[in-house]
Amino acid sequence: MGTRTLSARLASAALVGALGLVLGCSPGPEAETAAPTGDPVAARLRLAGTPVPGFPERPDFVLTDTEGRRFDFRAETGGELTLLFFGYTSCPDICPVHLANLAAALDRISPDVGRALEVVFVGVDPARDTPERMREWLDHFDPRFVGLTGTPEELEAAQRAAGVPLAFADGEGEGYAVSHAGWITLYDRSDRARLRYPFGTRQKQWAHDLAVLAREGWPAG
Amino acid sequence: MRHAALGVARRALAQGALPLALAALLLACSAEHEAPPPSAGGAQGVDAVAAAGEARVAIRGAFATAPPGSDAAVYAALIDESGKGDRLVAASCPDAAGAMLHGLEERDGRVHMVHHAGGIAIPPGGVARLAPGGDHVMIHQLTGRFAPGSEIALALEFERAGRVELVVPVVALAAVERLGDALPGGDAP
Repeated sequence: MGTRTLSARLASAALVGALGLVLGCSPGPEAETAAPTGDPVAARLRLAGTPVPGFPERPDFVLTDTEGRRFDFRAETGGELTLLFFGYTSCPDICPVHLANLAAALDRISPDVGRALEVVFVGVDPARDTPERMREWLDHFDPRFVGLTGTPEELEAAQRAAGVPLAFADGEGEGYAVSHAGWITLYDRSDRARLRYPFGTRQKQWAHDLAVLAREGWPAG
Repeated sequence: MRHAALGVARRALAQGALPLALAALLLACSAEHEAPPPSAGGAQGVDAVAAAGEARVAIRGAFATAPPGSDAAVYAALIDESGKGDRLVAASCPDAAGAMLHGLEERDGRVHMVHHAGGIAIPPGGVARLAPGGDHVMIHQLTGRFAPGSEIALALEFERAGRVELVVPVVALAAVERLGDALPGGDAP
């Protein structure tokens, strides 16, 4: 039960999308993002992200950015729509495709949304995720994406604060993999974690959700 | 023009006709500058066939990703056309340190890489879908930079249908979603 291939989930997501098209829904973004969710706000706004249980507070941790400066996550991003992703730059499939889909979505919606959004990527593989490499890697997606890393202790504290399972190195030799949380967490302007976006989130879903949340925020009540 | 020539090369390779394959590849190269770059949004996966005796595996929609690193993932649909099933047992790439058969699994909230040491099974008459988020051929330590629009040569080896060489397009990361959707067998569990 706990183990499921990601592609099986993606296949069912694609099938839902295809069904939507077959049923002749209007071809706007909403037609492909009408995933049922357990949260009334997410359901009403037809948000594709998965609601985070309990809507925890924006976490408090300090890491180092790609310019070598200390970056206090809560102080620097507080009050802003923020996406937080823990991954690693040597990740061959999940991280780059996830970020590329997000960047492609930002390219197709109003630049105002991108300006209202802070995207923070935390590299959890400090041996390889150096500030220089992170900057070069993130620039492939969007130069505005913030890259953070730190000592193993700082990274563990950040992951604990953000409530993601701790990443760990998996395998031997130079080409080791890192097992890590595959989702991106969205924090709203009231500093709560609201939604998680698993790998496989579609470009149209990103575009829809970010446009709605940048415009309306997370409605009270 | 170029795609047709590449198709001939691939079929020729699949059928073991190396001279024909080389001629077709030369033709493909000479026409290279006329073709629009596949990175311009129109990239398509490629098809190939592995066949030996009655065993036959069709490879559909194969493409490689181009992450900004030294590793690349190859995705494709592998279709058993013999009705008896087959198994992808190995992959190799002349432009890399190695190629392995990998999968991804979600456990305890984390994404884990899985090494398929025993290969990837193709059910009788069915499809093994090597798709983003699941099984794939992982090419390790490419020698050189393979940007979107370039191509990677690789060989796949099947237990029954034997070995096939193919040349797959390297596509932009933002195109992975579209090409992954286009792989046959998307409604399979």
